[in-house]
Amino acid sequence: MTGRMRAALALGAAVAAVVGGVALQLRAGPRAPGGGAIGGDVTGAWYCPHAGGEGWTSTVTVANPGSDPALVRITSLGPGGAEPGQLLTVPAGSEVTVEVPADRRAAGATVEYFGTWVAAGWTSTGEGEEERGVAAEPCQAEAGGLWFLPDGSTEEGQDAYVVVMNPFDTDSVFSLTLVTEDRRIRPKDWSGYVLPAHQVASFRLSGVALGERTVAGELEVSIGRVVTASVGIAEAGGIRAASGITGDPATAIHMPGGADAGRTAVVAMNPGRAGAAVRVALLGEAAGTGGGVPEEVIPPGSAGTYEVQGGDPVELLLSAEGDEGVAAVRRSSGALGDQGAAPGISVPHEAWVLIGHHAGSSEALPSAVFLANPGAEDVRVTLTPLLPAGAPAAGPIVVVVPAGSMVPAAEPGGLPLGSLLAVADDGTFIPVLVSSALNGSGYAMASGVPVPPRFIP
Amino acid sequence: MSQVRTHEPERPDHPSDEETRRLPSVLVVLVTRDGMGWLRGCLASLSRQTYPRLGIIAVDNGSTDGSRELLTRVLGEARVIQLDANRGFPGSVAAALGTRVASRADYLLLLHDDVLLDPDAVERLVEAAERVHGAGIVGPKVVEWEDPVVLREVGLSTDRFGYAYSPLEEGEIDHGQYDRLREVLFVSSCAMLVSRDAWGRIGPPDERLAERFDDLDYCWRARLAGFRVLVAPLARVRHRAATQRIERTDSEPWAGRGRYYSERAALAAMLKNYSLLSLLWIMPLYAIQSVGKVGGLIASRRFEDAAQVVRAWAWNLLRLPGTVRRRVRAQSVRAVPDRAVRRYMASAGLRLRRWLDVANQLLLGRAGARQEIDEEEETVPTAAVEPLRRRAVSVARDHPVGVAWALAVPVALLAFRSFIGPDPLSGGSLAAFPSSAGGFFRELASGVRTTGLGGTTAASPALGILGGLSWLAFGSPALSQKLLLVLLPALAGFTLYRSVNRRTGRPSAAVIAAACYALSGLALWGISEGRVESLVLLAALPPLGDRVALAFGPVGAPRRWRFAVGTGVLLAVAGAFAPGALLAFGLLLVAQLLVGGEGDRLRGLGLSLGGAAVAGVLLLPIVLEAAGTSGAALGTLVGEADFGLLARLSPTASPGGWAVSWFLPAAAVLGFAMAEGRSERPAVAHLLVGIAAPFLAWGSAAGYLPAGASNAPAYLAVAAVAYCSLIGLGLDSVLAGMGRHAFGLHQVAILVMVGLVAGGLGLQTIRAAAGDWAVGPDRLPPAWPVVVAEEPERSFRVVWIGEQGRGPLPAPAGDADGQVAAGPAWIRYAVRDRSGAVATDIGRRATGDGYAYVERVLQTVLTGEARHGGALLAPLGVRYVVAAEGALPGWALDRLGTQLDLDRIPAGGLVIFRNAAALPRASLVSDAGFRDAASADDLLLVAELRPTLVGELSPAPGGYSADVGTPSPRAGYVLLADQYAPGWRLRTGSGEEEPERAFGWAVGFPVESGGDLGVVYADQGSRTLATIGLAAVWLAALWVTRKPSRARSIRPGAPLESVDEPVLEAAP
Repeated sequence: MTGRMRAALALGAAVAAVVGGVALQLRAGPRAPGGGAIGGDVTGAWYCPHAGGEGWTSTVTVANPGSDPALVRITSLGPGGAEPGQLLTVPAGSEVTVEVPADRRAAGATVEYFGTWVAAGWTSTGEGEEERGVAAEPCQAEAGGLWFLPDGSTEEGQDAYVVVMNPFDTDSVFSLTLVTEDRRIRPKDWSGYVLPAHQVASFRLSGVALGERTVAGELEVSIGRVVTASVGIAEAGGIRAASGITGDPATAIHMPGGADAGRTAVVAMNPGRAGAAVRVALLGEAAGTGGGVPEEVIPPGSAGTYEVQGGDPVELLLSAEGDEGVAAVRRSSGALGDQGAAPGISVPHEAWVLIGHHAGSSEALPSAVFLANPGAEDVRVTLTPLLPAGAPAAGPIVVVVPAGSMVPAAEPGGLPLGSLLAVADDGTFIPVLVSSALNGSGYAMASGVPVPPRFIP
Repeated sequence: MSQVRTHEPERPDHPSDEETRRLPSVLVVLVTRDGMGWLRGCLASLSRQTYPRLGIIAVDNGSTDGSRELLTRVLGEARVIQLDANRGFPGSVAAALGTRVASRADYLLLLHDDVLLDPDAVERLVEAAERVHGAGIVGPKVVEWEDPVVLREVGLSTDRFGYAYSPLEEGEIDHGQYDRLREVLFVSSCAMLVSRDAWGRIGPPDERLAERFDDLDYCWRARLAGFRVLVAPLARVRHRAATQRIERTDSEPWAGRGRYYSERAALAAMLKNYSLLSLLWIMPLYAIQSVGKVGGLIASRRFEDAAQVVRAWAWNLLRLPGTVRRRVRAQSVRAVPDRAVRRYMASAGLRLRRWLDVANQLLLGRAGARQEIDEEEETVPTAAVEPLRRRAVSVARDHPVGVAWALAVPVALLAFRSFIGPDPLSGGSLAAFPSSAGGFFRELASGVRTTGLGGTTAASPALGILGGLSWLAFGSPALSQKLLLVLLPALAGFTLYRSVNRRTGRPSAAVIAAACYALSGLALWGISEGRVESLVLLAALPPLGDRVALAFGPVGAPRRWRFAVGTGVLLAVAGAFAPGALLAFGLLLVAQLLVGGEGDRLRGLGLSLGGAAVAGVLLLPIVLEAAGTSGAALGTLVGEADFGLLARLSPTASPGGWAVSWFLPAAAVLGFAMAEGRSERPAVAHLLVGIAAPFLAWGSAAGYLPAGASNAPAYLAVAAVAYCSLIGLGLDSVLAGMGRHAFGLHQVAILVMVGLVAGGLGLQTIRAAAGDWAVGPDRLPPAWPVVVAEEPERSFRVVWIGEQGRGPLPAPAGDADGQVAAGPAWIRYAVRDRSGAVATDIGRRATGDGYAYVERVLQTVLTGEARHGGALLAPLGVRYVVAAEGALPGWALDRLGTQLDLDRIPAGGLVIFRNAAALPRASLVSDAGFRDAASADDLLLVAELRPTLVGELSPAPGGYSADVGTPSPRAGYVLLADQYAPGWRLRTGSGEEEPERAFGWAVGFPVESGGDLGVVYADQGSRTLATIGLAAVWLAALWVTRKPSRARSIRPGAPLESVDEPVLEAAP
């Protein structure tokens, strides 16, 4: 081989290697995993900070919209720790309701499920002399590190609590800051608060910020995870609860509701660093009536309560200007003054489970369902009852929800007593379930639980 | 040595009778044994002595060749002491000293029978003894038997440890340069004049010491007693050294055992003659250097030499009482302190000074020498001094290896400065060494794997090597780990140097290639990450490549069987550390098959495969494991799919993998272009390998190759050898053809290559000297020790995870055990205990049903709908799931964060999830559905479990024992979170129970009743036998390939040292 041939060969080899390497790197790249096999075993947990009190009864309802039975373990938690869990099976397409201890404010429960996806919610019923009413919320699927609890008022006749639940194996440490319309309060005792594993704690807000129309809570976890809810108690009677809001605040929040006495307020808090201009609009037939809430500016780090003017039933759409958004709760009153509250929802879904409200393990409360369609197309929604085993069978209800409006799924009393699976044929929607009990003195409002796409029947 | 100033008297040719009577009498003690070949000459030389008062007594040590008869005939029966057996020289002298004639002699001349004396030798010796006050022993100048102008001995010295040194160069011609009376530490017993005073006080030589090795002790004792030991060079004798030449009929046993005799004599002499105070510091140092010496000899396969050192120690220990008795006697006549004797010993400082002198001469060069001469003449022409640059070039050209070492040492000191100190290393991918050398051997012999998820996969034979090295490092595995990381790159450079030098015969080219190799991206990556196995592979590959090339070469291997075994041993050593060495070997083989040597390909293939077969036998555990896993045991997940990085020989980002390291492939291409003549064919083979290897490495890292063929570091090691060999071959051709080519592209290419290599090496050196390694003292993430410290008592495992392409797993996880396809990503994982990656797992891959379970759980947790990851991991004993910050995609973190029973705990630098549900490695749990879950293949049942821990079984010899007393009233279940092996047994008060598979992979025992429990492994015996068998095979293979014993010699040719010579005053 001559020198020139060697040089040419060397050059050629080098060029070939470089070109080949670059081509491999850019064209082929590392072998993709091909998605990998999805683990087929389904387990999960719901966290239910249902609170309690003297004369209270709390139930946890688990609804199984799937076609396979689910094994469920319900574990009650209190300030003293966890009680042994009870295992039960939730048959396919039905619900199971279990009464859980609720003799103190710091009470909660964990629902673990195995085999298939289920939804869970809780209902707390106060039948004591001072605390009467109904509160209901879906249980929460996730614990978080930053919680917003807008719904609180310590005006005269109102009391407010934040219930914090640590269902995990590690102690959690958090700080609770109260946010009123013009100040932020971080009590020393609530800074670096250590909540041991498997325990629940409650914080009475009126002990720190008395006489405030709006006392929102902002809970920041430094170690561990917790789940929160706010509980409001009216001296005149009536209790309400709203799940804590975790995740990023939103700039567009839907708050459907109905079957109330016409008094509705929106409580919003702005956890951001800049002021947020919010306005609440009425959707559907009430749109254009001039109702809602005109633009209000919520200063950074503060909260406000805004009475909504308008008809009933009505869906509210809160819009916030700015990048950071707000956290908001709809608060409505029942016919006899009991209040209901539900956090707003920013994302409509294709399918929801609406957990039925129960005054006891066997006493379902009459309820109404309102379906809001914020989209631009009509949506056809099928509601399938998920009733307790042994309950009389009930057929599905089909409702067409016009675009940009909200409709009741049935006349009051027209729905079977229990949970419902609501599935849109095409499109998305937002449902809300309201119930009344105790001869009309109790009023509760709860959002639905979105069904993960994989588990939509 | 001191020069004794004497005043030579004028000597009359023939002394008168009166003068003769005044002369001291000398009795020659001639010791003979089968010396017919030279005894006549010796007797004749004695008969020609000019000294008048000379008597002779001979001691024959049972000669059978007629020597005895000759002595009787010449000297008469009365002058011959006939011993029935060979009592050695000291014993013979002792026999002679017991005679009456000896007691009357003024001097004894102890004489070997293979010595010829010049006629005036005795006269000169006596003269010296008489003239120097206090002379006890006088020795002559000893020259070669056949060639009397060649010096053999002019007095000897030792270092502090009794190792003898001669001031002579090998073959040094006698120009009279030593012809002055000098005082030395000792002289040879081949001809030794001893005064009556001396032997009267110190007695005879130590009869336990063998011939040739008794003189040091004897002279040392004389010195202790206050006598002087002199060399009188004017007295000259010729020495045949018949025993060394194995010319005596019974001298065979001496052959190849010189080290044994010299070692035992040195130790015995020290024990007898040093003061207690001196022994206190000498003996520990001596023991340390003996251990190092044994290690070095074993490492260089000089097993016989190593055994001789050990035997020498054993000999001294067994004869300690006799040594003590003789010590009492020697010390009883002590007249001088040790320091008076040490004046005649060589010191380490002297050795250093000698080296410096040599270096100085090298640097000064001939001009320096001229300058010295000119200084003497006081005419220093400064213009004559060569420029420093030219001198430096000259030195580098003439002594490339020495210059390379001289440069390497300070660089290494800088680079490894953080290794200095007692703190153990951590960080990178470093595998922790056990706390004692025994840890390696225990794991090697253990029937069950104590690491990872357990099981019965046998340990790699590498543990035997690591255990032995740790033992040699004074029993400190931490020290041996540091030494390995420091020395292996140097060894790699050395082996490549030898490889290139063998091919080219040009040390300068080989040195540059070796420097490129030792500073390649792969070598620096290996150091930085603490990858002993990769460094071993780097060190082993050049000789392996040589052997493959030799097998395919025109001549082939000289001794084929030994060649195949040698190749197998080398491959097995590399494969024991890095099983991927087998892949690298295969690549070398394929290249040779494609390119071909000048020889027979079939022969080359046969020899190479023979070597591979031997390696297969030596690596039987690894081979069996590879066979059981479709070869997966040969693969590794190490490496990033970044072609540019891999082409620069860095499997992952590391200090050596920066942009500068492109110089190596670039220079290799130039090297190929320049290689011509004899270098052309090997260059083609190297080019082929150099191109293929990075692609194979990329294919491995990117996941395109089968698991068993995926080993990026192994392929890159082959590429490193190819690159650097091409550089060496190219440089060789350039240097050989310098001046043959007219100026043109060739010279430009040379300049480019020189620039590339010089710049690249320089910058890589700077990078290395910066010492910015991932390993070092205290390099664990800050959070990890804190987490571990929180649970000091409990046994637990850790699953380390990270997405492929986001860097290696954090320390101390080591390399990933496997990977799972989780949604859009590959998630790599490793299962470790609190120690992290351990060196007892070197060469052993993570395989088995337990790992399949881990992958299933990870996939379920990361991609499925399960939120009970803690419960699923609980049977594995996994207490923590850990990732480096940024090593997981957001969705994976979210999935972990939503697990009900995995709690994230604060941790600087790490993402740590704690699993409170984790069971200990061996536990007794209540059986509320546990057995059902354990026996079913259903993760849902596992997720539901909330086992009540009754007690943890603690490790005990051969297994685990329960100190739980009586278990709960309900039936219990013993879970051993190790991969299933049928040899496990549960021992209860009622007998032994066989295990059942738990969770499809672990070991479980249903417990029906309470009482003491024990879990033991019953098949340990068979593993022990297998280990012994394998060790025997290794020893046999090493014995076949052993190097011949290299006996120490204190004669010319041995390490040369000069001894300080204090000036003595002559006797009046």
